[in-house]
Amino acid sequence: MVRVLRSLVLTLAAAAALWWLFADTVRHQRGGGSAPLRVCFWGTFEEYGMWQELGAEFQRRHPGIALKLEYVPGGRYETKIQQQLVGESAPDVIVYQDEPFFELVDEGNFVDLAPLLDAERAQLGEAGEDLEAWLTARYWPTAVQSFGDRLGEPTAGGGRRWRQFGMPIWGGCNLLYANAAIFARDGVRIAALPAGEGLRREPGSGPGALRWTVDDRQWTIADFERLTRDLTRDDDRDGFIEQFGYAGGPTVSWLPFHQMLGGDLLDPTRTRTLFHGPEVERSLALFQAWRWDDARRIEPREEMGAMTQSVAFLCGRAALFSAGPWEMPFLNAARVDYRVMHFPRDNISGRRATRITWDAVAVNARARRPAEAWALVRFLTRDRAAQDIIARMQRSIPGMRSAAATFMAGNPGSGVERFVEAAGDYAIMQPIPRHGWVLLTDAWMRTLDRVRHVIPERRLTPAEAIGYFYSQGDLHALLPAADPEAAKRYQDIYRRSGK
Amino acid sequence: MRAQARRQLAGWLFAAPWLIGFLGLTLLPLIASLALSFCSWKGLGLGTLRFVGLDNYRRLADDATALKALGNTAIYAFTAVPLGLAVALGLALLLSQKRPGIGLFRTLFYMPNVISGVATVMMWTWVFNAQFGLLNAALRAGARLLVALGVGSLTGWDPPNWLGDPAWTKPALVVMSLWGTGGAMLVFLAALQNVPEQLYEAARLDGASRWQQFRHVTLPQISPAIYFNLVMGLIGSFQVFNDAFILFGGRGGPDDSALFYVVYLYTKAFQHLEFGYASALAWVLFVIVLALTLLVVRGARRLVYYEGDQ
Repeated sequence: MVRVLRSLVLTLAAAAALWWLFADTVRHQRGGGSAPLRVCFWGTFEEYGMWQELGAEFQRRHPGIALKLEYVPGGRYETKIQQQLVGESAPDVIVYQDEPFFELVDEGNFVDLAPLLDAERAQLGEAGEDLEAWLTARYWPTAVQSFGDRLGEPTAGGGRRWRQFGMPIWGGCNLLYANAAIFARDGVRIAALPAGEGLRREPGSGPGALRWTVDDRQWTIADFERLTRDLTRDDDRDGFIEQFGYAGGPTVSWLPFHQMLGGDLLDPTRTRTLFHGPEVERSLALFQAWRWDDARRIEPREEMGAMTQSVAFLCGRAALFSAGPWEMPFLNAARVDYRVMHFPRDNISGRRATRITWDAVAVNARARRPAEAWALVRFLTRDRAAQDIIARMQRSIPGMRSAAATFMAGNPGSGVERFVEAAGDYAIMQPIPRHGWVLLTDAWMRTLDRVRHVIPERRLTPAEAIGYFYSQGDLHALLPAADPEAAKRYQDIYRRSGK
Repeated sequence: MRAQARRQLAGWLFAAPWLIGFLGLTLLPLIASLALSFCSWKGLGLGTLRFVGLDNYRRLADDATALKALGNTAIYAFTAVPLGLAVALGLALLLSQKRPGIGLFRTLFYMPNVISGVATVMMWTWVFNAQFGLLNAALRAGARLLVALGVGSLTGWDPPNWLGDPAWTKPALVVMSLWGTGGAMLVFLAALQNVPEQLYEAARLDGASRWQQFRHVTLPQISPAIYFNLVMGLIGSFQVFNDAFILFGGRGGPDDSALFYVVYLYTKAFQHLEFGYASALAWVLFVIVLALTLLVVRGARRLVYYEGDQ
């Protein structure tokens, strides 16, 4: 009897353990009615809170759809999602960044949303317009293009049918953040100046006296250099700088300067590298000068140690730094008083530029209930209520242009409207190739590293650095040079340098 | 017979969790990675899987970055492992003495091994900071003291830029690796406790000095522990990843001077999405570590003393 009982208990325990281990897997594989619609996202603690709000609002509108919010903690979100896609366990709806997006599209991982959008337009009686035009009237054009495919499918009329693989949910461009406490202490005011004047030296001197007025809608790189040099301070005169005028950085932080000087990384087809010419040389020379030639070192590097630029900014080691709106929740939580400023203009062309980046919501090609998945995508990106929740959080500019007003109203007096102005006026899409974004940024970062190398004998001149960029074999096997002759010329310069 | 079958079944059932884990999570991925090393695969769906034969291995032979990463790893391993063994043995010798409060010191020296790796690396980034770091502050203070004593001059001298100068990144990582010698120290400490006291007594009666006692009694007696730490150290140092990856943000540091083999492998697999090539890299590393281990095992036959051996 005891033996039978023992066997029974053991069998039941084993069955319970197996159920506990595999029930979810079986449910997931079957995709039965009880399995909820899954959506995954990343972000900070504040963003997690925003998703709870979005989820609750969606449930109010769609009580019949069970929703499961899957927060992906830590870094390397893309890698985790890729692994889920390979394992066929990725959520139905996926929030994804623009940089690696088309790597997944081209492997057939996301649904083309164009037919769903067309059906909706037909219902609204707005089907006459071209889909791209219809979308860009409602969303930021760069956002639509980041997740849309103009190559599309050929149509009977000889044209191309626009495909849209992700709906822009939010994004933002890099601008400058000014530490208001440092500006007040060092006598810097942001205000309008007469046309053509970007920076004015005021007569005041001494602590707290007004010494500079800056008009960030007009200021030039020369103005920027003057001001940041003045804000760079070695208070105790021990040779180590206590306060940097500007804490920049390579790649995406440098991209706005590179773009405003007329430089690029890719040609318009985004399938070939284009990184040469006087504009690129000028950009690299400026980057090098800010690190090494400038006596006051505008662009610090190892002096910051493990400190990120935003931490350096909030603890007063940097008066200015470059970031997108995604830094605002962090700075707001830390109660840092800041002002958002436009990037300066190029001294010669007067051009302003900055990089803009977008995130989209996409439907997994293996989504079990595509109609419900589309309902969620619609809610997140087409419903003003959801876009207002996103705008109020101040993390990003909402994808829908009409919700930008809510974004600006949330942080009056901080200059936040500049993000919207830049997105509408002069922000440029990032140089994202269809494939090989990581290889491209690796090569770009290595090139910038060599331009500001710590050992003078290893430091490359701008022309040598371009040659070094074109000598990255892995990259150019995937993204060949747009002008092979020019690439070869620069490669020879680099080779001859012996560095 | 029935009872024996039942016992066998019970044995298999108890071993089943481990067996399932081994088959599913170790053996199968191992075989899959070997198969992948002959393929090209982006890791985003089986549609991109393509057989390429030995191409990945041929590519590796021509890949200057992979060879540089291998060179960096070898330099690191052949520096950090002997140095780590020497420091661990030195610490163990100091801590094997029967002094009051020695337990506290044993705990302190082992403590870095139980502290989170990421936190430790973040701490070291500050220690190595060229301008404000603790290490360079100590070096500067030392240099100033020497100048005050009239030895040398500070003109033109700067302490190393540990993380910015390609010549100093590997030494920095070797110094950092010493922080984690607590594990090897513990093995040495256990081995030292097992050296019979009568051997020292006999050596002393024969007039052996302290060095001779160490050379002819301690070292042979603890040679199995040295052998164990050497093999584990070699395997571990060829797979060095965390420290370099966190310290240099997933990149190879200045001029790829801190690009280690496994960091490169990770980059190829999970950033460049070249899973086939990354698998080939992994199998080449396996062969190298296996060859080195066999070399050590061969040497051990002559150099390691086991009680009871002839």
